[in-house]
Amino acid sequence: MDKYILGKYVPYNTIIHRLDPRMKILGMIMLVVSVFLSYGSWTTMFVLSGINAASIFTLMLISKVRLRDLLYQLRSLWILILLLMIINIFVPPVGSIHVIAESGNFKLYAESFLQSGKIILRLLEMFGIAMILTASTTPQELTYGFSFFMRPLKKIKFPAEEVAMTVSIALRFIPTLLEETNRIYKAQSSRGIDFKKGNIKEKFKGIIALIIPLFVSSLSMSDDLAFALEARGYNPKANRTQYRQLHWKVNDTIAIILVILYMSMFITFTAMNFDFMKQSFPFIW
Amino acid sequence: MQIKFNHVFFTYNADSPFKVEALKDINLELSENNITAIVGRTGSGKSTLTELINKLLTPTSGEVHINNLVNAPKVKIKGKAIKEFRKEIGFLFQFSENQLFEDTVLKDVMFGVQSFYPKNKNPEALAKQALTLVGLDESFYNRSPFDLSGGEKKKVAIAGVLAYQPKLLILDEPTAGLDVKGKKEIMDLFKKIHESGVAIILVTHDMDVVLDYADKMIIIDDGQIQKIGAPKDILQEDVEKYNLETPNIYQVIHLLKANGKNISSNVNDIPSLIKELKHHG
Ligand SMILES: Nc1ncnc2c1ncn2[C@@H]1O[C@H](COP(=O)(O)OP(=O)(O)OP(=O)(O)O)[C@@H](O)[C@H]1O
Ligand SMILES: [Mg+2]
Repeated sequence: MDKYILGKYVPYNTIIHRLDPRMKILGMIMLVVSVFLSYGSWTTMFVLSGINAASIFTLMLISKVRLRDLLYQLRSLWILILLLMIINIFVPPVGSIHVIAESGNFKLYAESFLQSGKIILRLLEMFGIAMILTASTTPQELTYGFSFFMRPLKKIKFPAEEVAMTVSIALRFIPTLLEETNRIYKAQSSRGIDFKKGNIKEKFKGIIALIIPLFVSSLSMSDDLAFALEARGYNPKANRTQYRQLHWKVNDTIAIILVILYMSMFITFTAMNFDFMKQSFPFIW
Repeated sequence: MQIKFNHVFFTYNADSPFKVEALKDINLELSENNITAIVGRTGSGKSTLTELINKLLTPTSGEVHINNLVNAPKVKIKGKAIKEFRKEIGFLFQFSENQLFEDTVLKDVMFGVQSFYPKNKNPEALAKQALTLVGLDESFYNRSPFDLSGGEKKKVAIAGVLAYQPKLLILDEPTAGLDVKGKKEIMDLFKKIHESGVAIILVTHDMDVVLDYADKMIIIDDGQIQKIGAPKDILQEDVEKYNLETPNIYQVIHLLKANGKNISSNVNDIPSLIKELKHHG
């Protein structure tokens, strides 16, 4: 359980850590857009996805998010990936033409694998982006950032501050719950539960022995928290000021301009339906 | 049980910014059939040390020998072998009241017996026996463990450990959260169990308990062993630098000495102190 998990803040002090959370949230959205655009041909798609991957990997290096941790996140997704392959093989993407193998009525298309590869690559890139954001931004900053963008919604009676408070509490309790899980896990192991081996019945018992105490203690934690909030006179309707003000700095402006340029480049490629194979280069790389 | 620590280091979250060196170069042998107290300030590494004995944690380097088992990095042990040796150890956690999960007290106490000894015909009898030992009567059997008070939960957890009759008890702050009477009752119970041949490792912040019950004490500070010896020797010295409290009896003796009374260093409890005072008139 010593592994990093998605969503866990890692307290380094890199240039990305120091950026304004609002910039990081906007930047993340733009990067995700770049990742999910579609392009003229498979070759173009993979070249541009490769560029995306390289950029995201560079950002990971700068913010000290380790590739190992990213892959560790995805280890449990292999079933999904397998399922994806199977679906793509039996329901080939529209417009598939390259047949690799054939038996009777059934045709195996190269596009099935390309399509799966594309989705996996995008998934990896998405997770990478999300990890950079959460590893370099404290949950508190993230909430401030999100509530800043939600502020206009207050005009239409949207409970922006309550939502922000709820989200910030939820984020705050993720590590606590993990610690609690770890503790209960150890306690039940010492009572003879083998969580890793054993037959289905034992496994099921193990899960029950883990989940029930976890439930009970999170309920009592939330009870305590509610009392504590009330004891300090928390009023959800009150107008809140913030202890830490967000400051937009020069670095944030530079970063946001770079991301905008980056995304514009990809949008241009899509809009032009650009294809490396057919067109001459519109400009020098 | 033979327990031996050989240059054991333990680091939480190694190679990450959350790194904590909890234990540094621990060398220790705990083989006698004793009550051994492990004491030290908050965060000194006591719980970490005990969890290494039960192979809940694996050392970052060095090795822990427990009977024939070696707990060391890169040494793989089969799940079955781990279970086989864990049933010899009763481990009471610091927050053991949070480990209850069955719908009745009785079932929860039976749980350890059932998982370690699936062939046992009568886990219920063992569970009832253990509940009686900790002082919980029949009226508790069918209650939900979640409706109990903190101290009662602790007692249920203790019963759950005693029920499968381990040969070594590791108790991480067993008396935290109990009232004065409950504390004495539980400690007397552990003493009785010890006399029937069970070794005990006890983590506690209560130096009076250490003086009254332990044969041997280990002070650990900042992840390192500072002192090992008999409680009556160590506790007469200055232990406050380790954030430990001098037991009441020695506080009184120190005061008496400061006021010119001459008291022998063999005095460790109230009856002998009274005798000593009468003797000097
Ligand atoms: N799961 C964990 N992750 C990271 N650090 C930990 C973890 N558990 C303990 N530590 C750290 O390791 C050190 C030793 O902790 P340990 O729990 O062994 O102390 P302790 O002596 O039992 O303290 P206490 O008297 O409060 O129970 C502490 O600095 C603690 O912060
Ligand atoms: Mg502890």
